Formats: sequence, C-alpha cells, structure tokens
Amino acid sequence: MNCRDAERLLDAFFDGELDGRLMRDAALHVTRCKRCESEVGDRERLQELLVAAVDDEVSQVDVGRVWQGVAAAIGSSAADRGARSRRGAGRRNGADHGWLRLAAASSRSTGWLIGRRAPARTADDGGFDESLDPAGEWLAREAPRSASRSWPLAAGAALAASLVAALLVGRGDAPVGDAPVVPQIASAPTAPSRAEPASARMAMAKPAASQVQVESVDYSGGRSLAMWTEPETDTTVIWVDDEDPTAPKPTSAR
Amino acid sequence: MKPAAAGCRRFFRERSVAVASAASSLVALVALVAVVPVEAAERVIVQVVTVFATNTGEHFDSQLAAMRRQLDKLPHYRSYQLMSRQSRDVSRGDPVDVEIPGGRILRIVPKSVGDDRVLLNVLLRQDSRAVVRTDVTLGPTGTVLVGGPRHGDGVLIIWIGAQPVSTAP
Repeated sequence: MNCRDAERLLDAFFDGELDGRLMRDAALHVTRCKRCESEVGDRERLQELLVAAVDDEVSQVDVGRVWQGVAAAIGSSAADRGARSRRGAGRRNGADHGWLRLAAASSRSTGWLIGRRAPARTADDGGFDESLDPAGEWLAREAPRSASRSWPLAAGAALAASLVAALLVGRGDAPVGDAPVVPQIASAPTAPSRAEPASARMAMAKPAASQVQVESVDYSGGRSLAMWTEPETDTTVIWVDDEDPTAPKPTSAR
Repeated sequence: MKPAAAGCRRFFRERSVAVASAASSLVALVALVAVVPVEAAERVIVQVVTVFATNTGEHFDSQLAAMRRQLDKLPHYRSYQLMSRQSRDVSRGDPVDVEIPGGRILRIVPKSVGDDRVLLNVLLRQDSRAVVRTDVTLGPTGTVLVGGPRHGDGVLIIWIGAQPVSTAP
C-alpha cells in the first residue's frame, strides 16, 4: 500500500471500518510512513477534542432530579394499582402474582416484626382474595399515613428487594464446578475493530463486550509496532516489526 | 397525659421504628452475603502456541488447522510450521515463562481473574531487552497474537489464550 491508497482509507481505518486485510495493510503502512502516521495522529487529537467538548456539555446536565421523578411515578403507580385491586375482584394478570406478592409479604412481615399490625380488611374488599395481590392493598392503605409510618414500608421493600436479589444471584447464574477448559481457537462476532497507530506507549479503551481489551502496550525504541483487531476471530494482533530492512518482504497475497 | 410525655413516647416509638427498619435492612444484607456464593477463580490455564512463518517452501502444518483463519489475517507467508504448544495451569500472580526460539522469553502473569475474563501482563524479552510488553484482558474466546520477531528466514507468531479455572466445588 502506498501513501495515495492509505490517504483514501485513513478515515475508514481510523474508525475501524476496513475489512481485515485492508486494516492490516493500512496499519502496517501507517507504522512505516511518518506522514500517514501524522495524519492518524491529527485525527486522534481531533477526536480527543471532540470527546472533551462533549464531556463538558454532558457534565453540565443536571440529573439530580431524575430519581425524584422516578420515585413520584412509582408512588402514583402503586396507589393506582391499589385502587384497581380493591375494585377489580378477580381480574389479575400473572405478573402481579409473583414479585409483588413477595414484596408485599415482606413488607407485611416487617410491619409485624416491629409490632405493627397489618391493616384490617374492610367491607369494601368485596370478597377479593387478598392473597392474589396484597401489595396494592397494602400500599394503597399506607399512602395517606404519616411520614414516620412509611419507614416499615420502605424497610419491607428493601428487605424484599434484597432477598429477591439474593435468591436470584444465589440460584447460580455463574457456572459452578465446571471442568477446566482450555481456550479454543474459535471465533464469534464481537465489537468493531480499531487499529492503533504505533507510539512508544499506548493506552486504549475497548468496548466492554470485546473479547480482547488491550489496556496498554510498551515496546522498545527503534522498532515499529502495529496493532489491529480481527473481530471475526476475536483476535487482537500485535505485530512487532523488527525485520531487517534489507531482508525480502513477505508476499502481499497467498 | 402530659404533652411532653406523649411527645417522648412518640419520639421513642418512631426511633424504634427506624431502628427496626435498619435492623431489617441489615438482616437482608446478611442474607444476601450468605446466599451469594463466593466464587473467585484464582487459577488460570494459559496456552501459548508458537508458529514459525516463512516464505521458504509451501507448507502448512496440519496441526495449525484450527488457527488457519487467524493466520490468514496476518501478513502472508507461504509456509507455517508449529514450533511449540504449551499449556500451563497457574495461580493469579504467578508468572509463566515460555522459551521462544532466538533467545527469547515470553513471560505471562495473570494479574486478575474474573468469572470469564483474565487480565494478563505479557512481556516478550530478547536477551536482556524487552521487545514488547502489554496488559491485555481476554474473554472466553479472545486471543492475542504477537507476531513479527525474526527467526531465521522468517518470523515467529505467538498465539496467547487464557481461561479462568472455576474453583467452586
């Protein structure tokens, strides 16, 4: 690849949009050509400026009231559900019967633990089966009470959430007792590739989903280094060019 | 009932509610910690495959068939020969030294081990000089290839992979 070819591909190379062969050729050219390396460096600096500018803008956005809005929405939703529960004798969807029942049971039991009785049922329950959705009833009755009495409810919700989280995590999503597995030379689609120009020290950040994340690279002076990612094979290549300049170059194609 | 006494009673009742709430949260946290299995893999299987690539002859070692797709993405050579294949089971922090032809030593140190990811410190030395050093995190199917060191009339390509070993019973 010569400079004219490289200049045409530099933008796509910088964005990691070239296919594997072109990415490799461009990376190798950039490591050997000062002018093209400088072009890539200019793009890097431009990107850094853009990132800094965007970060500045984002940091000025006030997100402090987001949770207040969420909490308010949750509160009104719970109150609505409670009202529907009292009216709705028998029309329940499946989602209400699982997590909500557990959360309500926890909050009710917490109320019992601290010496408060759960609210007594009244005639307007109209024969509604409490076990189907006690959450709505509990929450709806608690809403108008004083702020100090919302503590048991919050504690119950925290207890329920923690227990549910513990059960979910403890159920064992992580593999347990797997036999040691030697890594296979396999491939799967991953994050987009991104070639890095050579420098004395490089620090990179790759997408979290990537199978290979290069944190840093150091190499001794006097050598050139190219690095690129092959998403098709989940491979990152670090190519140290310590060839003798007088030695014959490898063929360009098999 | 005196107003002050009523106030005190209400104060202590509210305090007891708060204390009970905190206690229930503590119980929940303890339950969470007790239920979640502590499974930190501390051992890693590190695999290193060294390949000799040259333009002399036309030969592709059949033992490298599984690596063919990866090798096709590298600067092309006419001949590929497997030189060594090593697999080591090591603890986190313990170095793995692999001899590479040409007086080179590849030292790999697993610096941290997650459920399915391993952070490796890789150092390739030639004689007393460090050729390249990198910190790289590998996922379950991720590999890193270090290529280019000259050997004879060709170059060496070093394939590195790692996999955490689950230690849970």
